[in-house]
Amino acid sequence: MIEKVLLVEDDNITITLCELAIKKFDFAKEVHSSRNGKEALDYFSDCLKRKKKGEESEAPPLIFLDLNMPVLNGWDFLDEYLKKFAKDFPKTRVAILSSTIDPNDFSRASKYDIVVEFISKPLTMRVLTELKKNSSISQYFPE
Amino acid sequence: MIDFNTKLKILVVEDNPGDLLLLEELLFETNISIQEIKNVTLISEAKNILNSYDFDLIFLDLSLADSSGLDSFKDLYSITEKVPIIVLTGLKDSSIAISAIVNGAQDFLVKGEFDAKLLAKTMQYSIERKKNLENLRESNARYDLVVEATHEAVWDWNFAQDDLLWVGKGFNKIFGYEYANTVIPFQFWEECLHPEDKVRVIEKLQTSILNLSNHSWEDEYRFRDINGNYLYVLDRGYTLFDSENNPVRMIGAMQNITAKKLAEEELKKLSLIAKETVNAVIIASKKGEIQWVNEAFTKLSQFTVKESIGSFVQEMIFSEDTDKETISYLLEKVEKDLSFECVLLTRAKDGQNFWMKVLGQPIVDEKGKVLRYFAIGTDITRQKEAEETIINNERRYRALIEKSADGIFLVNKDGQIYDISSTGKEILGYEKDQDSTSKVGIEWIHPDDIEEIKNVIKEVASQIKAVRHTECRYRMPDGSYKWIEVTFNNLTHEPFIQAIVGNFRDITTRKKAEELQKKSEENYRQIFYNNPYPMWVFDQETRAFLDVNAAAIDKYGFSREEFLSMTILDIRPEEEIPKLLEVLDVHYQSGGARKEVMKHRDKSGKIILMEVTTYLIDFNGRKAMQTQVNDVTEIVKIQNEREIILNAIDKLRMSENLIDGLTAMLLCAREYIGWEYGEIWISDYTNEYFTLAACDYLQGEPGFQEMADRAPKVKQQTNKSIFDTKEKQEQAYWVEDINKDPLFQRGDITAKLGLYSAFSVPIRYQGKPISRIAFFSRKILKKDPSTINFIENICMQLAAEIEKKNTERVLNLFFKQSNDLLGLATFDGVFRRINNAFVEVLGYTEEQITSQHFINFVHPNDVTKTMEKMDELTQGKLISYFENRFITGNGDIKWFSWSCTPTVYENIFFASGRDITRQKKEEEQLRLWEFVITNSNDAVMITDASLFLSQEPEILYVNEAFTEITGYLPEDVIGKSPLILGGIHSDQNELNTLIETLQNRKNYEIEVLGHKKNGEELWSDFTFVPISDNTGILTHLIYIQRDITARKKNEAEKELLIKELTQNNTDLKQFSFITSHNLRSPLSNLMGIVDLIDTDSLENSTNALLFEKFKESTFQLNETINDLLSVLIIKDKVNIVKGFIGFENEFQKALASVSFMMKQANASLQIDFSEAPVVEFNRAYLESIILNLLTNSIKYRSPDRNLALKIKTTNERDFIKLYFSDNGIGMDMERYKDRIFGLYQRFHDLPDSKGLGLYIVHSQVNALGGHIAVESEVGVGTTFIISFKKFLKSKRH
Repeated sequence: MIEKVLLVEDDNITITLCELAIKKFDFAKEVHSSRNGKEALDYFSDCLKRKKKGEESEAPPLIFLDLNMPVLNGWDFLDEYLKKFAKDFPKTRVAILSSTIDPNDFSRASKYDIVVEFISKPLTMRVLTELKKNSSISQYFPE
Repeated sequence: MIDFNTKLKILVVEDNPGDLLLLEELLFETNISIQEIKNVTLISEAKNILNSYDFDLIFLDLSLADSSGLDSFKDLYSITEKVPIIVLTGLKDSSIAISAIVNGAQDFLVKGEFDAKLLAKTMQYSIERKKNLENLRESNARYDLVVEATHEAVWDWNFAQDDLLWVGKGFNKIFGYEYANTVIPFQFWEECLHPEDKVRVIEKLQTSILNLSNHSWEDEYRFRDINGNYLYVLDRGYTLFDSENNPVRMIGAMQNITAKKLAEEELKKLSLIAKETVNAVIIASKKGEIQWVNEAFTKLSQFTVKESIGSFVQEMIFSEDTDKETISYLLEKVEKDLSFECVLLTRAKDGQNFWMKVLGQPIVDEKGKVLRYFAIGTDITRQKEAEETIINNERRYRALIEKSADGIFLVNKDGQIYDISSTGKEILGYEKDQDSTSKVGIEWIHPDDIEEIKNVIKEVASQIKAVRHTECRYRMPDGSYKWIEVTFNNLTHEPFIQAIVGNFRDITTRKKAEELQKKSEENYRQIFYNNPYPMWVFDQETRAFLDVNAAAIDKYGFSREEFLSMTILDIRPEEEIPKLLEVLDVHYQSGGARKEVMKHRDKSGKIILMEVTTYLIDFNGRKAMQTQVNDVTEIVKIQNEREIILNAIDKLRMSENLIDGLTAMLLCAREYIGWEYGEIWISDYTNEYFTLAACDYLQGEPGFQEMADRAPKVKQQTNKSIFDTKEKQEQAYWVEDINKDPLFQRGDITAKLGLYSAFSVPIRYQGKPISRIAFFSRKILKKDPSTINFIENICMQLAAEIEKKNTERVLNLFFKQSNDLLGLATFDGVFRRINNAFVEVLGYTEEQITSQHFINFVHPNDVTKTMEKMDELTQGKLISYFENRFITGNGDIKWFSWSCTPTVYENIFFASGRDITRQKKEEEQLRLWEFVITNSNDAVMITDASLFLSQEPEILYVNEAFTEITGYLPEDVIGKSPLILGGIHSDQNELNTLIETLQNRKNYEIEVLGHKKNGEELWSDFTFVPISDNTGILTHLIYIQRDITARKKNEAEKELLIKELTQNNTDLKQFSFITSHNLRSPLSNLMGIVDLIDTDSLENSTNALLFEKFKESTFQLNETINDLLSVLIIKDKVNIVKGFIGFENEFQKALASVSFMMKQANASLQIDFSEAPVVEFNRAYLESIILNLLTNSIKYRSPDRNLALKIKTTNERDFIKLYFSDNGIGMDMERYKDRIFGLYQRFHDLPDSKGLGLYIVHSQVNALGGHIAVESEVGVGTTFIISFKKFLKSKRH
C-alpha cells in the first residue's frame, strides 16, 4: 500500500470519489488533493522546503493528474514539475487521470518517462487493481 | 410302207400241232405272200435255226416244252432282236402277253380268238413297226457311234427350255467339263464364249435361227475350257422347225480347231517365207535370238542354219561398221513392238561386209503378244555401190560446176537452158540460192546478139565435141546489160552430161575498160597540156624530163627546151636531193601515187614549197612518172604561223600564272621571228601606267637579263614613255635603230648589247590597249609588215587570254576572300571549286566538300526542295534563288540563302550562298512570338516607350484577344493613348511605382478595375513588360491583360462562404468540446459513484433494483457518449497517423478478442490477403474496422446455419480493397441502402444493436480517403467492400 498519493483534480465530486475508491480498495493510506496544477506545484515546493529542513515528510510517490484544469493544467504542471522538482523526488511517478479521449493526449503523455499510466475516468476498482501491478508501483504492494 | 410283195419267211415256235395247223390255215387265208413257214417246237430249236436262217416274222407260243411264259420270249428275243415277234397265247395268259409286248414283242394273238383278217393286220403292223423300230434303233446306234467316234462336241439346243444337251463325252474330251449327256443352261455356253467373240457369235447365231431359208449355222470362235484357256472351235448347227415353221431346236457340234488355227498361222508364216524365199529370212526373238533362218540367209551370211539358230542377231551379223543410229533405230522399234525397215551394213561369216535392206515384222501370238520378229533381208551391196558411184560422180561433177569461177549452163539443141551453176546464176544477176534455173533463158540476151547466139548453138549442136566461143549482152533484172563471154561445148556423147555445156563469164568490166581507154587517150592530152597546175613526165630510170606543160614552164621560168634537157634533180635545192631520192625509191617500190610537200627551186633560185603528186605511167612504152605540183609556199607559211600562234596561246593558257604563260608565249614568238630579245608590258586599268610583265631572250646570252632588270620597276607612265603619241600607243611601232630614239630610256643597255631594231605591238582588249609586246634585234631591219602582221595576230589572240588571266587573278582573290559561300559545282552535284568561306562556315575540309555530292550536307528535310532547284538549273533555268539548311561539320544546322547560275555548255553552275542562320532563327522566333501573341487568350497591347519620357504613350499594336476582352477594335485604339481605357494610369503613385519598376527592366503586375467599350465593369490583371533594344534603351512597353472579372466575383462569393463555414465549424468544435469535456466529466463521476456504491448494503430490494437500473443506464450513457466522441474525433482529425499495416496481423488480433464468440457461432473462416497483404492506414482504425465487421457478422449471423466468413483483399489501381463476406441474415438493400452507414441506423431488432458500428467504420474509412460499399441479400449474406486509398501510387502490379 502506498503511504500517500497526490490527486491533482479540480472537480470536487471526482476528488471525493477518487479518495473513496483509493481508500476502499487499499491503494493508499492517505490522499492529498490539489485543485489545480498551481496548487500541486505549491504542494511540492512545501515538500521541498520541508525536505531541505530535514523534516521527515516524504513526497508522495504517485500523482494522479487531471489534464483539464483551471489556472495551470496538467501538461503545464508536468513541465514545471520536471523542471523544478523531479530531481529532488526521484521516486515520484505520475498517472494521468482524465476524461479525455483525444488520442493526441495519449501520445503526448507517452513521451514523459515519469508518466507510468494513462487512466480514463472514473477511477474504478478494476483500474486500481491493474495499477497495482504496474512495474513502477508494484513495489508498494508486496504479495 | 412295207413292201408286202416281198415274200415272207415265217418261223412258228409252236409245239401244239393243232394250233400250228390253225395258224397255217389262217396264214394262207390272209393272202400275204409267204415264202415259207418253218415250225420248231422248242426254244432251243428256234435259237439254232435263227443262227443260220433269217426270218421276217416269228410266232411264239409262250408255253413250250423247254420254256414257258415270259422267259420263252426273253430267251428268243435276246438273240433275234431285229425280227418282229408275235406272241401266241391262251386266253388266260394275256397278262403275260402284255408283259412280252413291254419287253419287245410286237403284238400278241390269243389262240382261237383271231381270224385271218386280224392276223393279217397284226402281221403287217408287227413287221412294219419292227422295221421302223429297227431303223430307229439302227439310226440311234449309228448316232451314238458317231457321237462316240467323233472329236466334236455334240449338242442339242432346246429353244423352248433354253437349255442345251451336251451329247456324249465330246465336251469332256475337248473342254474337260464333266458334263456328258447332260442338260446345261444355254447361259453356260454363252459364258464360255471368248468376250471378244461373244457379241459377234450370238448375233450371227440369232440371225441364222430366224433365217428360214437356211437352216444351218456355222461359226468360228474361242471357247473356254475348264482350265480357263480359250480354244478355237468351229461350231456347226442345224435348226429344226416344227410343223408351223417355228424353230424349236438346234443340233450341232463343236470342233476344236485350235491346232488347225495354229497350223494355219504357221502356214501363213511359211507362205510368207515362201514368197520371199529369194531373200534371207530370219525369225528371232525380241531379244534377237535367232529361232529360224531360211536358206537364202545361209547363202548370204555363210552361217549354217545350225550356227544361226540360238545365236543373237546383233552378235552374229552386225558389223563393227554398222552405224549406231540404225542399230538404235532397230532396237527402239523392236522395243515398241513395231515393224521396221532399214538398210543395214551386215557382216558375213568371212568378215566381208555387205549391205542388207531389212524389213522386220513382229509376230503376234493369239494373245496379241509379240514374242518374235520376222525379218527379211535383201542384199543390196551392189546396188549400194552403184548408187554411191553415181552419187560420187554426180557430186564431183557438181563441185566442178559450182566451184568454177565461170558460170556453167546446160543447153539443149533449141537453145533451152535447163541447168545452171550457182556461179552462173550470180553472173546473170539471179539470186544464188534461189531456184531460178527456170528464169534463165536466151530470151534475155540483147536483141542485137540473140541471132548470133542461136546460130552458134545450132552449129555446136550439129556436131559432137564441137566448141565455139562467142560474146553477147545479157539483160540484168534492173534492165542493164552485162557482157558475157560464152564457150559452147557439145558434150552430148558424155554419159553423165549428155548436153551442150556453156561456160561463160562476165566480161563487162573488160569491155567497158576497152571503151574507156579509147576515150581517155583523147582526154589525156587535153588534161596534161591545159592543166593550170604545173605537170611533167620524167623517165623513171634517168629522171630526165620527158614532157612538161605550160603551167610548169610558167611557174619555174625554164623554157620547154631547157626542161627537156634537165633532170628533176635540177629543180631542187641541194639539200633536198637526198630526201627526193628517198621519196623516189618509195615510189618505185609502191608504184602508186603519192602526195608530198617538197622544196623546189625555180630558175631564179627562189625556193618554193610544192605539193607534189606523182604516179607511174606508161609513156610511149617507157616507164615514166607523171608529176603534178601545186605551190603551197604561202599556205605552209600561214599554217606555220598559225601553229606558232596556237602554240603560244596554248602555253599561256596552260600555265598556272600569267607571268610564266607570257614568258613561254614570248619564247615561241621570238624564236619564230628570229629576234634576240622580247618583252611584254601590262597596263593598269586606267591605261596610264605600264609595268613589265615578262621577257625572253636568246639562249646563252645572259647579258640580256639586264634589259629586264633595268625596266622601270614602278609603273611606267605611258605618256612619258617612248609611246608618247596616241598613234604609237594604239598601233604597231617599228624603230630601225632604237638607240636613236631619245625617249627610249634603256638606250645605254641596247647600245651595250648591240640591239638596234625594235618594234612594239599593242595588245588590245575591247579596243583598249591592255598590254604591249616588244622585240629587239641586233640587226638593223626595215619595217617588215609580215612580221608585224604575225605578232599582231598573236596579240589579237592574246588579248582575251591576258584579260582573262588578269581578271581571273582578281576574281580569284575576290572569290577566295568573300564572306559569302562561293563555289562552282558540276551538274552532278559535286563542288569543284569552293572558297575559304565554304570551309569556314560549313566546318568541313575542302577535300570533304569537293569529294561528294553536296546534297549529303543538306538537311534531310530540305533535300527534295534543293534537288528540285538543281533540276531547274540543269534544265536551263537561268538563275535560281532558294534557302536551305546545311548540317555543318560540328553537327549544327545552318540556314543559307543561295543564288545559283548555270553555265549550260560546261554543265556547271555557280553557287553563291549566305549564312542566314541568325536571321532565320530570329524570323522563326518572331513568327513564334507573333503566333503566341496573336493566338493568346490574354490581351496584348504594345505601346511606344513615351511613358518613360512622361509623355502619353501611343498604342502600336493590339491582338485579337484584346478586342475580345475590352470590346475595342484595333482601329479604335491604335495610335491613341492607353489612358482612354481608363483605370491604369489614373493613380499617380501607382504610376510612379510602375515606371520605376519598368525602368529597372522588371515586369510589373497589377489587378485593375476598368471598363469595357460598352461600359461594363472589367476586372483585369495587367502585366507590364518593358522592351529594350540591344543597347539597353527602352523602346516599347507590352501590356498583357487578363480578364479576371469572373474570378473576382467568385473570390468574393467564396470568401463569404468560407466565413460562414468557419463560423459553423467553430460552433461545432465548441459543441464537440462541450460534449467531450463538460458532458463527460459528470458522467465519469456517475460511473465512479456506481462503482463505489455497495449494493449489498441496500436493504430495500426495490432500491436495490432501482439502483441496478440506474447503474445500467449510467453504463449505457457512458458507452453512447464514448461512441459519439470517438466519431467526433475521427471527423475532426484530418492528419491521422498512417503506417503500413499487415492485414493478417490485424485480423489475428481482432479474432483473438472475439474468439469466444466465434466459437459460439461455430464460425469458419476463409482468408486470402495474398494479393494485397499490406495497406497504408491507421492501425487503430483498421483494428476498429475489422473488429466492427467481425462482431457485426457474428451478431447478425443466421440462426439456420453456421457462420462462414470469406475475407480477401485485392489490389486495384488507386485502391486496395477489402472484401468481407458473411452468410448471415443479410439486409434489405432496397429499403436500407441509403441508410446503412448512417448514424444510429438500426436494421435488426437485436438487444445490443446500436446502429453505430457501421457508421464508425464508414467514418474511419472516409477519414483516410477511402470508401465503403455493401452488397446484401436477405437470408443469404452480406459483403462489405472497403476501398483503402493508395497514397503511394508509384507501384502497381
